[in-house]
Amino acid sequence: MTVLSRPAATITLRTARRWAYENLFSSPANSVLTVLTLLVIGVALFGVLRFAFFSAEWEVIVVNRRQFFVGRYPVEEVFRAWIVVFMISGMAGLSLGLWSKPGVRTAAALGILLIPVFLFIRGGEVAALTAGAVGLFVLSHVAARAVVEWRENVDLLRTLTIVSWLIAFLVAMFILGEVPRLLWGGLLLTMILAVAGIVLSFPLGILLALGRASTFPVVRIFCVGYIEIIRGVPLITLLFMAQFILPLMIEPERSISALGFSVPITGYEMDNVVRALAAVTLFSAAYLAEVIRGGLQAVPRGQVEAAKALGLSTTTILALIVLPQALRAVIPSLVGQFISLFKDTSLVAIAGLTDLLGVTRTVTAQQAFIGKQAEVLLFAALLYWIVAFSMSRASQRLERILGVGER
Amino acid sequence: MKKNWLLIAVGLLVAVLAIAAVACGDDDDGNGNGDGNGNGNGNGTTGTHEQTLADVLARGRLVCGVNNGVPGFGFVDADGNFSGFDIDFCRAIAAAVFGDPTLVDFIPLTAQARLTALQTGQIDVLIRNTTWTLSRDVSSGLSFATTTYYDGQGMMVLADSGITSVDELADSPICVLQGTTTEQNLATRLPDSEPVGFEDNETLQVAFIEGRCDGWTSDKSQLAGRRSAFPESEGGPDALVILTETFSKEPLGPLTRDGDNPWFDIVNWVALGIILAEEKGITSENLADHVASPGDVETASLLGVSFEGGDIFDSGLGIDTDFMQAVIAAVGNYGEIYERNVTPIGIVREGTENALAADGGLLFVPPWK
Repeated sequence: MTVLSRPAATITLRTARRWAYENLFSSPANSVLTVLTLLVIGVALFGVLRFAFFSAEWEVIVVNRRQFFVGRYPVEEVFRAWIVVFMISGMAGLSLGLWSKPGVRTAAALGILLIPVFLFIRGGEVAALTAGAVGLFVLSHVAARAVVEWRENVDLLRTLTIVSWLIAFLVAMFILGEVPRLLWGGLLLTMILAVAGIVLSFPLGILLALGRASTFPVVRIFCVGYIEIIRGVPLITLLFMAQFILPLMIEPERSISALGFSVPITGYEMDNVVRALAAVTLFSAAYLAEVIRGGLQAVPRGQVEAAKALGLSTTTILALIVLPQALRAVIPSLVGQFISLFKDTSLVAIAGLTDLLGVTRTVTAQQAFIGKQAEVLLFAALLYWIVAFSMSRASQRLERILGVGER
Repeated sequence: MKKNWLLIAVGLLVAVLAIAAVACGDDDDGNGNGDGNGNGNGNGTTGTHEQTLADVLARGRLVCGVNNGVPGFGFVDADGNFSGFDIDFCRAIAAAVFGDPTLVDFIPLTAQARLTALQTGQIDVLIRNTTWTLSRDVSSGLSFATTTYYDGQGMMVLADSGITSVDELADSPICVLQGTTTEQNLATRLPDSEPVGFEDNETLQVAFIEGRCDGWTSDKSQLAGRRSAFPESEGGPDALVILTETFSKEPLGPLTRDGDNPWFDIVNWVALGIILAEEKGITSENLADHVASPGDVETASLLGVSFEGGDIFDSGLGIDTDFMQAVIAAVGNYGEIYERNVTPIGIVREGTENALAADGGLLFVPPWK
């Protein structure tokens, strides 16, 4: 962690006083700034807390909690979402355990943040299931730690875990896909768009970045053109085009068939989710390509030349020397791009989708809850923040494990 | 060679794009059904426009473009079901076509996307508080069916301000949403007033409570919704009064694509039939009695039953002759729809344009024969 927060961990009154003196009141100007800042923070915090505990009426969220999490997903099918939640929490616990020691502070912070979420999830069944998911997370984490302690070499397990994440994604889509995508909404839709967008745009971004660095003019021009055009267009325009212009150009029975999945892409099939996903993916890929290009340029040419001198094949050079270093160097920007994609999904309202932010708009149209925007937006912000914060912490952890900035 | 790996990568990229191209291939034909009218219905099986009904029947579901953010007219209830005045008309059309009001998918649309969605064939019918105007009717390639709700811009003031007419606000500050037609209408009606613009109703309400403006103008249906939810700490709904004057015309109703008259007729006459049912006193409750013994020829025609042993009237709409029975059983007559959706947000029907013509309103149905 940062240097400043260290003393707080081994606190005594004496060191605390000295720390405060050295860091907060070292000069008259600093003292004034400290007092002013504390005042501003205090007033803002007081306002938010007073609103949250006294004037806010949280009934709107309690009543509509299912919509916030799964949108119009039918109540008798919600078990599918639960299966996916259990799958993810089990695998997340496993992965965390395999790669690093538990982050007590992060876990505590997230735990505290989850308390308000729990408060809204009244009803024993849901609370029990949520507790079960958390329990599974802890259990699989402990199990993974035990394995790591027991066996020194866990590389095979780690590879298996990465592969099973990809499989889990397909399985999750398969489980959820039994319900028409038209009914997907809330946090569920936001997460699916974000995760699928990240998973799909990442390889596309790598290819575009490599293509942009190509010495083959046609490919280079194509890639540069693609990246610059997409980056020059607002996402909302792309979403609009994917939604309304694309269907005009495609015949109705057309669908993309791959791996046994058939994804209809035409107007009357109304697969708004797929079309929005396509727009988000294509958009994000252009930005990722530029981030990854930065990483590619950071790998010294000499390394590639040396590898060639050793007689390595071009694929091997790419897979073992260039990309690992290039990607590792840009992890912070990559995750930044992923977080931004996660938040950009809130633009899909234009495509007739009701994501987490869309739900805040629709539930305040209910007669009983007109004018309750502040409550629902605060709740949505909390959910968004929990996810974005988790992503950012995960990326910091990844950086530490991979030693970014140390080599 | 240094660039070999780049070529491999490039090859992969080209392969990906090729796969994508296969999926989107043959789009030369797909676009052909526009017939040069610029509003191809995007479903292109035969190249003719008059096929929405056939498409709906083949699909087995109606696709209705709606609003999901207007209290009383189009919103999603706590159970995740679409609900509201406009929604009931969607269900009515599904009932008319399939005999089952549940066979409808609702697509929530933004104001910017709604017309495009209908033009490009994403939806079969648009029932999303869309004002009927000349330019929309002529240049958007869409047709407006009969008006189901006459809205209009009104003015809301504090009850204890003593203001009784819009003219008293001639040079007062008025709260209004930015970038809406309401802003333009205000400038026409009260040119000397001082508009105070806001991005959303929340901030507007706060400013209004703080007394930054004397009047709050918007469509009356919206004002009524806000009024019914006015915070009790500020006096509740009774602290506000909506002035009687309406100074803009906002006729709202269903829209279909131009050039598909058979489908337009179905949408239009389902809406008209709902109004006629009220005129004839047919409700979802007494429907069976009217079916058993219709009071007059027109009632018998409306319900698709025989009057005193005569022939059953065939509407020629291409759907079941007794389609209105399914409609009334599903959503009731106009009065019932209004009572269920609009009355709860506090808009009185008596004396407004939305009363039946017989009661002094504008709801009038051509002869059903």
